Amino acid sequence: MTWTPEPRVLVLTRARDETADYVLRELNRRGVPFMRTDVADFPLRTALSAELRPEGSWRGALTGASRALALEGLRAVWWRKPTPFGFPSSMSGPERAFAESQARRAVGGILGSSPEVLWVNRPEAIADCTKPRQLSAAAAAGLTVPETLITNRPGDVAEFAERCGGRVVTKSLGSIRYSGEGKNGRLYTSQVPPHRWNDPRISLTAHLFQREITDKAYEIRVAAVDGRLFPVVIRAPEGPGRLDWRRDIDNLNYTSTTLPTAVEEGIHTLLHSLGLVFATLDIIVDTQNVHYLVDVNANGQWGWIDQTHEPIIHALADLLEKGTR
Amino acid sequence: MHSLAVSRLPISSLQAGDQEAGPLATRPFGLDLLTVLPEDSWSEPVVTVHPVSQLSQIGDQICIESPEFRSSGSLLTDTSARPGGQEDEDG
Repeated sequence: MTWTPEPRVLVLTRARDETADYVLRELNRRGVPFMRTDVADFPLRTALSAELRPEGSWRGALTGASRALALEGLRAVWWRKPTPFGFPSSMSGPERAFAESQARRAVGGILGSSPEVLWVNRPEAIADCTKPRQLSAAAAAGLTVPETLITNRPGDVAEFAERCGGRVVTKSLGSIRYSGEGKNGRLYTSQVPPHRWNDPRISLTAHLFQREITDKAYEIRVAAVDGRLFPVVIRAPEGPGRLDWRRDIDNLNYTSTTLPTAVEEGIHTLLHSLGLVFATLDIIVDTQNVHYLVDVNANGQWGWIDQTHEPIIHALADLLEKGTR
Repeated sequence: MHSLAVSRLPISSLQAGDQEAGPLATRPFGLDLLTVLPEDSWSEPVVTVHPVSQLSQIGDQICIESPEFRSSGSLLTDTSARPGGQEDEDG
């Protein structure tokens, strides 16, 4: 085991996480001691032992294969992209459910019990950053949000679409990732043509519909770190990427930009209301320079954009190094 | 004192589902958005964490220090996401 001096930053993420790696390399360069582990490492590769002290804090350690962290020294937790707890494969379903219930309460409860620790972000804030909540909070913060309908009533879609001039899109309410039928795929934003407005399969669950911004000029991805904003213009060529730039990721053009003051202020208000110290936000800008907030990713990606790569690394490293709320 | 809402820890499984699709009549409308990725993009090499630097490594190669993994596609795909990039992000 490699003991580092008083680790005070805990990074929870999967084994492959290049985005986190850039920040961790910067923490190494700065000599900031940290421990990296995955939720999946518990309990087979990481051990947790904590004892309640009389004044109410937990004293103990999280001990991994190569590093260990004393709970009383913890100052910051970076909740990146952890994967599920890893239990022996011989456990039955009910045994696994019990073990996971125990682990969630212990690991989450102990790490989350210290009011001194800075979280990037608190897991419940990530979980609560649902599309309905973020769009509502964005509108309340003064940001412009496209007209949006969430429904499982097909008849309401037709009425909504007509009010939107007949141009609506639908998008996933959650992750764009889908695995099933032995296939992996993505659920990209798509147009909903009139002959689909009354599709009876809309009734099978909730679906989100939004007015299509037909005079889109470009899009902006904004990374927000502890009150600092890093906006980049994303331009997609004609084709599928014009509607959802993730569909044409190899042919995008990026340029640095600035945001109107009112949009900046709206973003700060929005993130404060969502309890997020980090997020990436997606904005569509139309030809009239109206900025439409369309998405808030509480744990969004940013590492591939050269224009903001280095500043975000340093901003996140600054935040984790500072730690403590 | 703060406490996490432990039943809501956001943890993403990377396991691919292989259960057969149900009948079309009960397939949610939203799954019509699905774009299936090429099969050769699914495979994931064995990745470990370097014990000293704590950085992701494949074999003995630190991912972010390797031109192969630093390519546009790898940076975009980030973590274990496959081409397309923001797999853990909302739509």
